[in-house]
Amino acid sequence: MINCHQALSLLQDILDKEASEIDEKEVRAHLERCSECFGKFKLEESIHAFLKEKVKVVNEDIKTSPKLESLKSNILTKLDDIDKEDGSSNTGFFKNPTRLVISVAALIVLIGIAVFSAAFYKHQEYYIAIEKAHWSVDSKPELKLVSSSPDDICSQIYSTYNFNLAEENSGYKLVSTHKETLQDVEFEHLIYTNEDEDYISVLITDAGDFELPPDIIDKAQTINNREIYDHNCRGCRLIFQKIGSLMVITASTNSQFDLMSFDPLAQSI
Amino acid sequence: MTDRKKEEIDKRKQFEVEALPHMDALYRTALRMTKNEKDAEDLVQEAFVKAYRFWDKFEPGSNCRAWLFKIMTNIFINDYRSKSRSPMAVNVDDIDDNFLYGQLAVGGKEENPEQDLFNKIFDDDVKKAIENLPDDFRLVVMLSFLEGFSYQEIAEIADLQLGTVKSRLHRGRKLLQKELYDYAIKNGYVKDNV
Ligand SMILES: [Zn+2]
Ligand SMILES: [Zn+2]
Repeated sequence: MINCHQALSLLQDILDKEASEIDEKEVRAHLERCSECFGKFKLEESIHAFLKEKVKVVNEDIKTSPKLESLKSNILTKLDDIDKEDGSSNTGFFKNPTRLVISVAALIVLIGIAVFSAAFYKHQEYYIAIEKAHWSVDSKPELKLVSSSPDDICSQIYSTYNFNLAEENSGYKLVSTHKETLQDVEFEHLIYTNEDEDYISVLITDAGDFELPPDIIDKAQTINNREIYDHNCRGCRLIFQKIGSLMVITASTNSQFDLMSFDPLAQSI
Repeated sequence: MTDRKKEEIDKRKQFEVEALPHMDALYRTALRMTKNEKDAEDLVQEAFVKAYRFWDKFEPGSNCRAWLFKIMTNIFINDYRSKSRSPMAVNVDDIDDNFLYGQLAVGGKEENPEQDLFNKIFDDDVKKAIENLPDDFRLVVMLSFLEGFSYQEIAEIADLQLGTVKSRLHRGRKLLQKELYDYAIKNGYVKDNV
């Protein structure tokens, strides 16, 4: 049986008809028992139906727009040009080496498959707060740019937390930091980005201030004197590491990246 | 007729049958993304030109519509977004997930309090609310709501992680709801419960 929180975390999937049959069944069963969630789902479902309908309606007029005819004939003219171009020259499109490179690059872009793990959704408040903090960087592009020199950030972190932060790791470079309060605990939120514009969040706080979520508290692996707790559920991966007196949490936007290989601690030489 | 010539005619025919019918859908999304007809037309044209050049990379039988949207989205992100990008980042985090539920449940005697609100929202309000969404959110909302693409398809079209698609869709939804609710308050359709 699932609880309210789990039911609500599946709300969007259900609205978009993306939930698995099992999840949907569980949620529907929960709604029969829980009037609070039932009310929320009912409202969200009717808002969803309303918005979807409206979005369709407001775009109806385009179907009859006279622009479409001229657009089509413009496109056909462009295609004619390409046909002529290809027919008159002996160097076909893919015989030109730079064009070949471009098309191979485009092809690589076309291949990109996100992994969707089917683990059961089990989300404590903390996970949600952390995940939110991590993904919210996406809508604040300034955080993904180099703000102050990585060196300055490292020395600032060193003087506050006595933690020797890595400037670079696994192709990710440190770009910015800001403070973030999650569930009444203050974190230092560091952002690392790589060339593919993926980013990694590293959240640091005093281990004494932070209570591990109950479902992983007894699942520590000890590696190199660190206690490591791995939360891995449906596209959301968070690694909690107790390093000395600090709790260090990492999360990546790239679900295929091996998060375990990312070490926020600078390697001592 | 030479083989080469024949090949070209086949290609052209195939393209006109398979790709061109998706022009209306591409234009519709292009218009919402660029917010003006001139840019939308240019964007769709560019997308078709590129698709035609790369037509032999299209796998017959696979989803042509998604393939075309991917090409167009790519051009939009690289060449058009900076032009139309709204300089102010919207803070979505301060919108409570249950925002509208809270608002509507307070009054709470009627059976369907939201219907009352819906009846008063004009199509133009919806159009404005959509156009006010930040580019990244508007894109996923259009691809999902209007074009009916799945999370996975949107992830591939917009070159995003599945988690990003879901979070943008979620936040896009909340923004739309909030914006429409604000219109309703501003125009006195409903009373502010706060
Ligand atoms: Zn419940
Ligand atoms: Zn999780």
